[in-house]
Amino acid sequence: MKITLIMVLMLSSFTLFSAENNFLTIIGGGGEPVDAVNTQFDTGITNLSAFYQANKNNYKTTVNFNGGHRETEALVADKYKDATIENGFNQDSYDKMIKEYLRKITANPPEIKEGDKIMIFINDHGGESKGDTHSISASASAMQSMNSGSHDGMISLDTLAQLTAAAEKAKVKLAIIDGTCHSGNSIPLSNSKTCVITASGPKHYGYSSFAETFANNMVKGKNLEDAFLETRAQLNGDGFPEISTPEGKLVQAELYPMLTPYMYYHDEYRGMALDKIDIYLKARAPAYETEMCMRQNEYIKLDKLITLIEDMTSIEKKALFSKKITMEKTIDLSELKKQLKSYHEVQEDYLKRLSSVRRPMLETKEPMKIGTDTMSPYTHKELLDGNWASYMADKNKDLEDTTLTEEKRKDLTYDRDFYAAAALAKEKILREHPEYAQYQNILDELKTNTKTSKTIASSIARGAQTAYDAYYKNTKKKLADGDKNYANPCKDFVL
Amino acid sequence: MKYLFLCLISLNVYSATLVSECGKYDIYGELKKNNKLKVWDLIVNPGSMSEYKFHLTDGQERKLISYSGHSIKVKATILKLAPEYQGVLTNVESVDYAVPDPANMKGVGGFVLIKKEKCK
Repeated sequence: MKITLIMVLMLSSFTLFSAENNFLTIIGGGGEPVDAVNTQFDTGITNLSAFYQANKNNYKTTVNFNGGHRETEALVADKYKDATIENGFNQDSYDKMIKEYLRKITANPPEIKEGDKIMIFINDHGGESKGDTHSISASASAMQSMNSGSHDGMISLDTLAQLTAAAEKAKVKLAIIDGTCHSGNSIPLSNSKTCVITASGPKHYGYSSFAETFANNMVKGKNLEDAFLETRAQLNGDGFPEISTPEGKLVQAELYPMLTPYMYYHDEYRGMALDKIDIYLKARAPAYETEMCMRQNEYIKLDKLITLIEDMTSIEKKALFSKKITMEKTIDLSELKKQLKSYHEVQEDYLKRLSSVRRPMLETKEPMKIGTDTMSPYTHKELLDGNWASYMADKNKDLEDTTLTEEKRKDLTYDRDFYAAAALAKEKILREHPEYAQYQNILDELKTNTKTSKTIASSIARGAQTAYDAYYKNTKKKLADGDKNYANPCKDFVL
Repeated sequence: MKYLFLCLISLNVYSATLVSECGKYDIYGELKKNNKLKVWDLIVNPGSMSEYKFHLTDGQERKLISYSGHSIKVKATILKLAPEYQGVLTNVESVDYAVPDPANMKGVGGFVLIKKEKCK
């Protein structure tokens, strides 16, 4: 009895000694309209609170989220009662988070040591690639563009690299769950100890409820790779969620670049354009004739890869009373191939039309004059692309400043008059070249064309999910068999 | 030897993202209004640790402004190396939309030196 008691005491003291020291920091909730009472991220933060509630004794939790939206603040206070709650997500609180984790990892003795876990969960708006990663929205400033984010409060995730390097060196398990648009840009933060999971590829929005679904799949004992694969299989929206496992990186490198144009679409959100397809077609149209073959080859390569994925997951089947062995598909990607073919043809048609209208615009120049001054001419394309009324309004606004020097006032007035002249020149060339209106009309079609809509892109993304899942599992078998140095920080991060 | 190799790698990265010599460049960036100075800026690697900014002159602004809101490639000369990630452009030769390269998923950004010139 005495010996048993001693053993129990020894075991419990050992458990105490080796107890894991885990941390969860939730950041984001920025870029929302200033006058709103809540944010679009409230469901995500609610779902994640279930994990927090069940594991708050194992994860020291900090909520560095939102700021300025009444209902969201009340929700955070209610759902995360025993957590540390920062006063709004901004550059200072973000820098503080990194600094504090760095201090704890590098302290002597370390406060976060080998085997301990840190999870940074980002639920926010995210812009396109900036620097090494991308930027996300801080609170107290509304986002102006769904592509760049483009407002004063954008925070670069580049500085997380300091933390990933320190965690790797100290063998601390780090997870970055980036639930934002364009979050595939965060994958480069991964290393042998850092698992990065993202809601979308680097070039796409992530309107698929990824963060909400992933939070639901966070259950004690589950590893992050499994949580990711489960989440991916449950999603219905657009985007292309990514993971930094060796399998993920291989599959993503093969599939994503080729799928990219077919997951673009046109839509609107809070008066802002979701216009990846417009931008893509506008950018590609000038080089359409020289790139036609390249685009066709890329499409054929994608089609072949999808067939290969179907084949590699087929199983042998022997018919009854026959020696003949046939291969039977376990997944059917024919609908995905059909959708890709159809969208490819739609894009080709747009590119052909835009290219034929655009060519003369590039070649023709319009002389520009203000009073007696002759300026460098604009090409017709430049005149048509310019939003001259808005540039004039901007100069008029600048001129309202009563502290301007006389010289600055003169320059601003000159520029304003120049843009007024450009606006008139634009009207003139549109009158003289009615065919130019076609260019804008073609682009305007995208706004209502169901063949370039979010529904099409989401449907392709769903089909691509089946292909991704099959390809991922197949790659996993091969990698696990072959590579002795195989490291998978997502699998090693067990919740 | 290993360290020499590492140095060479970091040197290449450095010259790809920063301006370390004068000359004619292809500059990949985007335009943004600087409301404080009431000028337009050409910003390279915006929002990153290696953000580089050029205040445009009125003439440069008029030449480039119809490309605002897009990633652009500007062929221009830099004759003065300025500190603190801020430079001056002379002779803006041409501008065009920077077409994203499907093989380069990180998009376009940075400087490509075309021809070295003496600093002034």
